[in-house]
Amino acid sequence: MKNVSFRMHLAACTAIGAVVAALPLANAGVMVPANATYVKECGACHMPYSPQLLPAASWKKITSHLDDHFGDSAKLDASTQSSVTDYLVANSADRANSSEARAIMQSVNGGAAPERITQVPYIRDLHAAVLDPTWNGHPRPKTLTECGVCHRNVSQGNFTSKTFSVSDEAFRGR
Amino acid sequence: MNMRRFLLVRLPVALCLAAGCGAWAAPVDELLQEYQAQGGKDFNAAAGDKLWHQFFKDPKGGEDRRCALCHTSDLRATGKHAVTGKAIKPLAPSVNPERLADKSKIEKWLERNCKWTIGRACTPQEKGDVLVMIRSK
Repeated sequence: MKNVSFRMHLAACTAIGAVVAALPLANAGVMVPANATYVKECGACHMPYSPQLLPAASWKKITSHLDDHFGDSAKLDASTQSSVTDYLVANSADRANSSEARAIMQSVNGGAAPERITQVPYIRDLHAAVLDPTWNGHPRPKTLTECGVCHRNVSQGNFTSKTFSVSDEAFRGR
Repeated sequence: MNMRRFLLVRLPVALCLAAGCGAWAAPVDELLQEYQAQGGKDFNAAAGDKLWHQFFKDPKGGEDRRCALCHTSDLRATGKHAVTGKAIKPLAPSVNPERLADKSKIEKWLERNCKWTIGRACTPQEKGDVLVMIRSK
């Protein structure tokens, strides 16, 4: 009997532990990509973007012409290409339930497939200041490729304003 | 015959002979043989070095491109992707032993980067010269 109650106690603790462990995940923001092939192949040239930042249709389009990837060849062999595509599509903004992914999908016109993350209306509008060539007298960044330059905690999927490396004021002011 | 000795010594040797020892050859040597079969000859580091520093005009944007643009003139140094700014680990095997160790990786990057830098596929001669040059660093 004692043993049974101990087991129940253990089960309850495990259940609570699982819920507590899951809580930060639910609030962690944008999923950090963990697929080894994707991180290795695409991360060789730029940060491996979270699949949640674009709709499935965008990933399909991008991976369908990797031999001309924004002017560069990112050509992969057929099997690597299909495994990377499968991963991106299965974890795209359409399939994710983070608030960011929902906002991305709501902002994209039905069926549209932007190929740049900065062409997603929700993301583009948030970055309007920094995308403006005459941004408040600041030099416009040459590229917005590496999110971590401004979003310091991007390696944990955190894109919130509290973790900017530039002040919100400098960022928003126009 | 001692079974253990057969498995550890005789069998691998027999398999190696049967397969032409291809799997054990250095990836660069294997590629140089292929480039030779495709018409390349007398691969040399000086020619590879010259190509490395040669400028090629991008027909679309008009800017000058060359290998050293991203990988720098010093192959032992860390490079920087010209578009994304991401760091590129040194190409010289003397400081980065991961380089030239994987045949398919070498071919993948030669194909991609010749296209971007020169605007066409490299010839077997050019690829051989550049590989011999990188190996010497």
